[in-house]
Amino acid sequence: MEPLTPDLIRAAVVDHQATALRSLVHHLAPILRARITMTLVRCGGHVRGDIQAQVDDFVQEVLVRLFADDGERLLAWDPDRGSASVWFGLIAQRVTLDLMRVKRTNPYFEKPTEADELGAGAGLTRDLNEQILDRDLLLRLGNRLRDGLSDRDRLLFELSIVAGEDDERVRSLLGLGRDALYQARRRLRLRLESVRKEFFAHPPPNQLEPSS
Amino acid sequence: MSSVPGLDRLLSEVGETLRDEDERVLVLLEKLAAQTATAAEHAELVRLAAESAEIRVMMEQCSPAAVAEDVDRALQSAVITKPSVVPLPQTTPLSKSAPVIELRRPWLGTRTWGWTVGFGLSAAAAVLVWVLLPADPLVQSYSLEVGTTAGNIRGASLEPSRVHSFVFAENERLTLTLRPDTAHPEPMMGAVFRAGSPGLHSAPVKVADLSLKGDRGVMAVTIEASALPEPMSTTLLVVIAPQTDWSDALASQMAKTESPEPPWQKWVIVATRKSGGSSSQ
Repeated sequence: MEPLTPDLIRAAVVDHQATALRSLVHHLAPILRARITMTLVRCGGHVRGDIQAQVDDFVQEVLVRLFADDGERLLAWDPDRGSASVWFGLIAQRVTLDLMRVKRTNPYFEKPTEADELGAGAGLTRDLNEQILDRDLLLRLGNRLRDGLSDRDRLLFELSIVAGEDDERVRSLLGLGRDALYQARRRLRLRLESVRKEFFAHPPPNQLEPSS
Repeated sequence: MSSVPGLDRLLSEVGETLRDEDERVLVLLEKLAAQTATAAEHAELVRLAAESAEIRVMMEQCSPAAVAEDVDRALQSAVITKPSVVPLPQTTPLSKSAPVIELRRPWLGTRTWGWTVGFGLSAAAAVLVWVLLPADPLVQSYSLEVGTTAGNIRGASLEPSRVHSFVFAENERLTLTLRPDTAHPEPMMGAVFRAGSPGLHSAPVKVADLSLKGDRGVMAVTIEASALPEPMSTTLLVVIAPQTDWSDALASQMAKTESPEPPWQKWVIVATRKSGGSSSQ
């Protein structure tokens, strides 16, 4: 199979060469499928539900978007600006998040954090600055945090903290006002603090051992 | 908790670590899907999956078989495989200048009997046209009925010009039945397409072909409600045409067209899958 290059894309999209088209779709499908699956699982709470139909549909949607407007988005890829995986993967992630934007008005996020909950976080983290947490520990802490979050907070965590989306984009995707986002972040910090305390008080066997 | 720099820093570090880990998982998933993973990479992914239910789900979804299906579906899609400009059917070229017809008052230079003969000929021609040409010789009229396999009819004689919405329970199976309004002289073809998601200009994807039931021209198809994505509504486009006019590519185009020209006929159904509970229109 021909490697994925801008020439291959032009042959498929501009010259309509059937072999190039087939080759291009063969290259794109694994990239899109992997990214869409990860986005849906991480941000869509899809561990239990049936995810396959949604992944199948989103892959086709993203492909259609890429080929729309005479393949403008495909032709815009410049290998010097990023690998095909990153470039097309990010497009897939954006489209998936946009399609998931059904939870626009979300009263959960508008719920203010209780005053005593806020107070409970004070002074708890004095020792954190002295702690050096290795990567393995951070990973386990992060996964523990992920496990305990509600679907809503999980979505915020994945978008804002893991994916590093800017605040405006997060607010747009979640349909949040500035105050609501602020409150939601505070709750996230509290949850992290609680997980951290629990983690250090009762470490699971071998979980505090540094990775080799 | 006016300011918690330690927690913010920890949160940020946790986020960065998880991002790195996700990027690694992503690389492994892509390689798995593309069948380019080495034995060591495959083993690494299996190890990660053993530790995380989420990665297990991702791994299941990125099988080479699933990717092969993606490729097949994409290559069957008219929007991807065909040039975006669809050539128009051949038509008679328009002449640049209209023929000049001399206008004159009809009574000038004519005789009274000429009027009578002219009127008589026109009337005869009109009668002849009315007798020889049926009102709409090509369009075979069909009625669409939507129901479930449990035998519940949810909508009958649905108008092609309207959008019909139905909610189906997860465990139901939708039956779409097309019945000819009159005796059915010629073989017909039909298919059900799924429109793209709202806001996207995507090509319809064929869900199923309508199959003939018996010899009276009745066509039907059954779709599992569980196959409909949740929570979005799915727009189903039912398209039929005489076999002689039918091609899959044309059917896909017609499914996209708001009001296809006869002999094509199209119905729009918005089906929403509801987890458990009852269903309704």
